[in-house]
Amino acid sequence: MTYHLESLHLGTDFDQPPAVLPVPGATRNGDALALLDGAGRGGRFVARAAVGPALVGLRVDAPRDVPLRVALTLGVDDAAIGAWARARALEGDDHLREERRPRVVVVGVNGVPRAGVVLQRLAGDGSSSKQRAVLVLEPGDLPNGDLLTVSLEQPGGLPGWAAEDLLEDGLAGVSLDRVKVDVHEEPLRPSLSTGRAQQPQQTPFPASGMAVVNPASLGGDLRLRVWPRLRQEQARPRSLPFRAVSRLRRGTPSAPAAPEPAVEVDVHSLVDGSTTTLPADRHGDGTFTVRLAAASVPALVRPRLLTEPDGVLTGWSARVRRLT
Amino acid sequence: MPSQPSQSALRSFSNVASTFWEKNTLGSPRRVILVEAMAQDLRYTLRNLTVANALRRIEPAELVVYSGADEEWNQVVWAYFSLEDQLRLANAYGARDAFDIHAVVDDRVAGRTTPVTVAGVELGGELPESGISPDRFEQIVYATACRMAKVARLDDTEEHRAKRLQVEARSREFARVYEALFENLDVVALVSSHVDYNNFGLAVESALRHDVPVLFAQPTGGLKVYGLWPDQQQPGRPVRAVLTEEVAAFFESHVWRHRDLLRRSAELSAWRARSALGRPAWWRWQGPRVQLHGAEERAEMRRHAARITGLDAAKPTVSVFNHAVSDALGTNMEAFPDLGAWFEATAEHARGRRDVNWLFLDHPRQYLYDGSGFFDRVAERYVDEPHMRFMASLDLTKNMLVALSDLVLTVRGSVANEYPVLGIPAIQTGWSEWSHCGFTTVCDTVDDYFSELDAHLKGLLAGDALMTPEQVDRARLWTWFYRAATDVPSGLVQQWQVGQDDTLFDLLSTNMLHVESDADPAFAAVRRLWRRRDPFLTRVDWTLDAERLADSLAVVSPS
Repeated sequence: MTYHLESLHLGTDFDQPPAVLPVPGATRNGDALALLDGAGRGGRFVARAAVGPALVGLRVDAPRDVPLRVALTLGVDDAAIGAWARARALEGDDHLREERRPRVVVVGVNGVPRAGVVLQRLAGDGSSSKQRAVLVLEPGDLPNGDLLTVSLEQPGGLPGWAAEDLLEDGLAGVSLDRVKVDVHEEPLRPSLSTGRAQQPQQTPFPASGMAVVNPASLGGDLRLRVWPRLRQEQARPRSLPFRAVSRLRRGTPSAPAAPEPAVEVDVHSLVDGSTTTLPADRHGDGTFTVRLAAASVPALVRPRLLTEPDGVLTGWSARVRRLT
Repeated sequence: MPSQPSQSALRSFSNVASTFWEKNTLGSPRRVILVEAMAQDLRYTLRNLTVANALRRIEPAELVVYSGADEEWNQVVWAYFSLEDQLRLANAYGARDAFDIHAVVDDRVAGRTTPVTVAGVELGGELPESGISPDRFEQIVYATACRMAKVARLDDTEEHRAKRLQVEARSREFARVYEALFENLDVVALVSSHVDYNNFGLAVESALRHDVPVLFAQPTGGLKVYGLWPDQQQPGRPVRAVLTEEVAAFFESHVWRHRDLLRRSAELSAWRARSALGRPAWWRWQGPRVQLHGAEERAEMRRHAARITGLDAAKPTVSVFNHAVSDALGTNMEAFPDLGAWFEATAEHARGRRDVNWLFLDHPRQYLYDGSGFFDRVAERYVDEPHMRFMASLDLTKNMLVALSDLVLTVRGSVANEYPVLGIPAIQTGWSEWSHCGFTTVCDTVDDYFSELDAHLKGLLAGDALMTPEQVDRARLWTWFYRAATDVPSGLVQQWQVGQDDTLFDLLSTNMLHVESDADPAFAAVRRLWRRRDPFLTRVDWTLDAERLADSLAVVSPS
C-alpha cells in the first residue's frame, strides 16, 4: 500500500495517453513506456540506464487474473561503453582496460530481485552483446492494475571476489533492447546468464568465471553443474584442448597423471545478499555439481578449481536444472 | 567551468557592438547610468549593458561601468574573472568610464590615497560616510561575511570575528564610494545583476536612497529584468519584499484575470516544466524530465523510492529542501533568523512526528556555500530516527522526489513553485517572487509556521486535499508568467542557454549587423517598464483588453 495524496495533479492537457502493449506482444522502443526513471528512452531500444537504479513501466492489455511471462533483452554496445565512461568522468583512453569487464544487472519486481544477467563485451560479439532475463509475474505483482513495472539495478553488498572483477557502475549505459510479454503457460526452467550466448544444455563462462543462476517458475532447489575448460600448455593442433576436456569429462586421466580435481563454488545471493562457498561434488564425467537453495536464487556464482589443472583453465561450462 | 569566448571573437564582436550602440543610443554629458559588471559570466554584464543602452534610447545619458573582483570573491565565489574582458565589453557598449571599483576599495582599505577620478568624481581621497542605516549596513556586512566564510551563521571564533571585521572594512569603503558617485552625479538609473552582498547590495541601497531606480537583470531566459522604484520602497524592508508584493499585485490584476485566455499556455508551460528546461527550476534544473503522469505511476515510483530511501511508502512524506545555507541571507522577509535555523528547527520538530516520513535534502551546490559540514552535523543528531532521512538531493531522481513528496517545506526555494504545479502543497517561511500569488502557504512567524505545519500534517493523515484546483491553476499560470510573460526574447542578448562562448558573440554580431534595431523586444520592453514604472519587463502590454492581448500573445485559438 502506498499513501495517496488527495490534491495530486500530475497530468496536463498536453499529456498523451500512455501506449498499451497488447499481450502477447513486444516492444523495441521507448514509445511504449508509461513510466521511466533512471534511464533514457530510446528510438531503437526501449531504454538506456544511467548510473543508479532504473525503473521501467509499461501498460499492458492482459487478463487481470493470469500470470505473465516477461522477457527482457539487455545489452551492452559501444554507446553503453561511452555512457559508462561519461558517468565515470573518464576521458580519452582511460577506460580501455576497464570497459570489457563484466557487468551484472539485477531485474526486480516490487523491490524483489527476480532475475539477473551478466553482460560483457567480448571479442567476436559484433556491435552488441545481449542477454535475456525472463521472469513470471503473478497478478499480485501488478498492484496498479495494468502497469507492469520492473527495476534494473546493480547488485549491492558484493563480496570481494565479485566486486574486484565486475565493472564499477556497470549499470550505466546498459540498454533494454526489447520487452516481450506473454501469458505464462509453460513452466519457466532455471537458466544461466554468463555473458556468452545462452544455451539450454551447456553455457560457457568467459574468463571472468562468473554467472548468474536464475530460478525456475515452479520454485524448488537447483542443481548447478559446472566443468572446467582447459587448454594444453604446449602448442598442439587446435582440436586437442577439446580432446583434453572430453577426457576430463569422461573421467579419463591424462598422462602424466594429474591430481584429482576439486571444485568449490562461491555463491552470492542476489535476493538476500548472503555469500557462501559450496564444495562441489565431483562426478565421473568430469563435471561438478552444487545444490542451490531456492531462496538464494537468483544468485551470482563463481566456480573455482582447487587443484592444479591438467592444462590452462580458459573458462567453464555450466548448466542448471531444477531438483524435483 | 563554462566555456569562454576567444579573444578574437570578443575583439571582433566589440568592433561591431561599438558601432551598433553608437548609432542606437543617445548620450548626454550631464547624466549617467551606472552599470555593474562584477559577475564573472559575461552574460550578466551583457544583459546589464543592453538594458542600460535600451534605456539610453529614451533617457540620454553616459554609461559609467564599475567592475572588478577582490581576492576573497575570487577564492570563494568565482572560478574565473577577467577584468580585461569586462572592460572591453563595457567600452564596446559605449561606456564613458569603466573602472575597477575593487581596486579603489582595496586602496582605500589599505589607506593608500591613489587618485582615481570617475566621471569627474574623485574617489581616491577623503569621502564622507554613507547615509545607509546602521541596521541595513550591519545586515549586509553579516550576510557577506557568512558567504565569504561559507557558513550558515557566524560564531564567536577568532576566525569569524576576523572575517566580519575584514568584510566590514571593505563594506564601509564600498558604501563611501557608491555614496560619492550617487551624490555627485546625475544618475538616471543603476543597472545591476545582483542586489545582495556588500559589493552589489550597497550600490543598490545607495541608489534607492538617492531616488535612483534600479534595474535588476536576471541570469535566465532571454531578458528578464525587475524594476526597483525608490518611491515604492518601505523603510526597514529588503528591496525584494517590495518586489514580492508588486509581482503579486501585477499577477492578480493583469494575469490571473485572463486565466481562461491563458489556460492553454499555462498547461503547456506546466508540461514543458517537467523537463526543467530552465529557471525558475533553480533546484535540480538539469537532468531527465519528470515522467510521472498519474497516481498509479506515482504509486509505483513511490514504492521504488521508498525502498531506496528506507521510508515507509504508506505514510505521508514531508520533504524539507535545505538551502544553500550562506546564500544571500536576509534578502527578503523570513520567519527565522537564518536559513540554517529554519532547517534545524524543522528537523527538531520532525523528531517527535513519527507518524509521517521526513526527507531532508541537501542542496546540489551546497559545496559552494557551506564549508562547515552544516547538513551532516544536523543529520548526525537524528541517526537513530528511522522516520527521518538525510540525503543529498542528487542521490534521488526528480521522479523519486515527486513520488515521495506529499508536502514541501522551504524558506524561499523554487520547489515552492515546482511542486504546487503538480498538486503537491508547499509551506514557505519566507517571501519569494511567487510567494504572494496564492498557491503556497506563507508563514511570517515561527509560531505560525509550526502551527501551519501541524495543521498540514493533520490534513495529510486525514487524507484531506491541502491544495485546491484553483491553487494548482495559479501555480501553473505563475510558471507561464515567469517563463513567458516576464521573459523578453531578444537577439541582443540571446537565450541564456546559448552560453558565453564564441557562438554567443557570433549570434550577437549577426543580430547587430543584419537586423534593424527598431522594435527589438528588448527596447520596447525596457521603454514600457521605464515609462510605466512596472515591476518587471513584460513581453506584451498587459493593459490591453482581452482581445488585443490575445493578438499580442498570438495565443493558439481558432480565428
